Amino acid sequence: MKLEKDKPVERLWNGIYVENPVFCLILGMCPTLATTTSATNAIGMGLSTTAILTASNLMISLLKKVIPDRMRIPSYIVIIASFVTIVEFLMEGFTPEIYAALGIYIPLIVVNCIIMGRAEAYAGKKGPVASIFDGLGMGFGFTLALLLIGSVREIVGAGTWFGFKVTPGIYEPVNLFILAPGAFLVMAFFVAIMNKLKIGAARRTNWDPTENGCTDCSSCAKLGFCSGKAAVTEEAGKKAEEVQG
Amino acid sequence: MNKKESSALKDILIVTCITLASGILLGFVYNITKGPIAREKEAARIASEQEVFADAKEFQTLPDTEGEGFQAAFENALAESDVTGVKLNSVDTAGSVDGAELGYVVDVTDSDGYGGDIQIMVGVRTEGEEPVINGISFLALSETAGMGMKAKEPPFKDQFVDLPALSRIEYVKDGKTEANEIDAISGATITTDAVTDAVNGAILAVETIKEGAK
Amino acid sequence: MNIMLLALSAALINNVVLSQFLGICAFLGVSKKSKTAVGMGVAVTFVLTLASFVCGVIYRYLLVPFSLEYLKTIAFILIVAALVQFVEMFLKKYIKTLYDALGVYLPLITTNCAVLGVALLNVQKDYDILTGTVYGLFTALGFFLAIVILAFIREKIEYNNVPKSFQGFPIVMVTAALMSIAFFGFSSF
Repeated sequence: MKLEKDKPVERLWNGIYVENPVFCLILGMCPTLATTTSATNAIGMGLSTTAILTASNLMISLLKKVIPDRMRIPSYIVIIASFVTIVEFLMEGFTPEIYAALGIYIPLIVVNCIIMGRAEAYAGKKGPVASIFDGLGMGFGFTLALLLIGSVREIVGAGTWFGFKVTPGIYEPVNLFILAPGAFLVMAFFVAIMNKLKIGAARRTNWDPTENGCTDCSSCAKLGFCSGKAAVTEEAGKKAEEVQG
Repeated sequence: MNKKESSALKDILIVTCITLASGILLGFVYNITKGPIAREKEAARIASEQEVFADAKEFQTLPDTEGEGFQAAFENALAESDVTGVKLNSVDTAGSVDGAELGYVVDVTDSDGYGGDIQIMVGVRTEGEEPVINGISFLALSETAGMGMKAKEPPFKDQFVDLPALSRIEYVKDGKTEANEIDAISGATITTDAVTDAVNGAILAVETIKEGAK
Repeated sequence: MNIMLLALSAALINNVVLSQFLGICAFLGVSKKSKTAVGMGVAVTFVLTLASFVCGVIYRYLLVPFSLEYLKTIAFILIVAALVQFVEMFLKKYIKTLYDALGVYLPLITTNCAVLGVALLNVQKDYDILTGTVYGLFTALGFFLAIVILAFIREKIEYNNVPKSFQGFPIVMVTAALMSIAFFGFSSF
């Protein structure tokens, strides 16, 4: 399938499949692992992130001429944090149960590297319409990935899906899967399956965070981000070795 | 002023403007959503009160319990007991349709939870001979999913219903035998301990009210 | 809650990475070699402790008096970013040896979600400034422990025969899962 670049459909497909932020780019691991204890929480997290991502993408794309290049990171942080706070208020007022379940992970969307990453890699350079669809695509990709992980964890770990019992009575839920270790395990198996099927493998072949700035939110947010300024941590390592050696 | 300085100044000015605009926008949204958030909290509170006292119609804050005298008496009672980490938020009276007092709804927070504060409402029925616990309901619970979170589910929660609110409630791990005992949630002793302490705190509060009335 | 239990709980039972999933990115990203892991761990400990203190002070004495609590997310992230800058500049100028050891890791910490996470948790749990700082310190020590252990294990995995599909990212996640199970041991007392 060959889609025209920067067109809405291409952007959606890119976010959901080609560059799925969770499975292909391995971004945003903190919320992915923390909020997928149930399918409902996963959807809640996914959609709120989508809303923030789309809004901040639009805003940053509109303001890209105004925001001075040197001060773009603080500006992005302020814009993203504002949208996060707005979404936080809305959720507290209108969906209090999801708000309570997601707790601290809602304000922490600020440091979700998917949002910063898209601002830097896409919205800060392209037009507003393409940026909106880029945000929607990435957001839906994120939501879908969370839903998949959340569903597996809830069904295996609690025997329910969206709160309804789905497993036969004889099945004893494996509690481990809704606890912390289950998150790591399910994620490991999803990526292993994708490796096996060679889906998005090109993006992950050399999965090595020390060589790929993308996998490390921290490097994403401040230095060159996902575009070529990799090896930040690698440098860090070498320097540390020099110092200590 | 040379060019470099003026451009730096401009940069800072722009960022300040963005921050200011965000701040104003946030203040605006905050004021709009304040109403719904407060309503939601109130609704959750009323739903909780209804849950622990299904047959009551009127809930009113007990004025005496807001005074310093009561708070001090309650603190004393707490200090003498082995109940720890409990904070009393409010005590409401639960009245029936015809105005008769059925008992109290005590709102307590225990800070010794595994994942943070546990806030519960405890309904204590005092109209009969002996005070009994009418029910408990959680306003805040952020324990581990699948373990401490089980406190919210009927098998654990409903154990408290109809327990005598006279002596301290104890939790046991190997099957309850006494009237004032409950079964702990397996694998979540800290949560069980915190919830039991909170309920005991509520019992103490009701005792303190009774003492005061004498 | 007494402060010993709080410290123990923050470092081991509720380990920031293995049970709360904060700072996962740095945990996975900078744990390939034990030396870099130690550097990252020390830098995070330093910044996290400082940030919980500063955020606590600003929240209590600036945001609360003006009832601007709702600006806390935006304020905290800016404080953390600014703090990291200042620490970097300060170390570079005055404590050169420490800067040489930690300097390269500092910029990576700004958006480590553990830092912002702890600052927000301190507010949520209504800790006073001292308790909040102690909580921050021990949370960071928990991070240090987790990342260093993972780095040691990963150095060993290099020599193991891992199934092809599991090479790279998946095996690291499996390792993290097993560590997480091990840390669960601390909670059953």
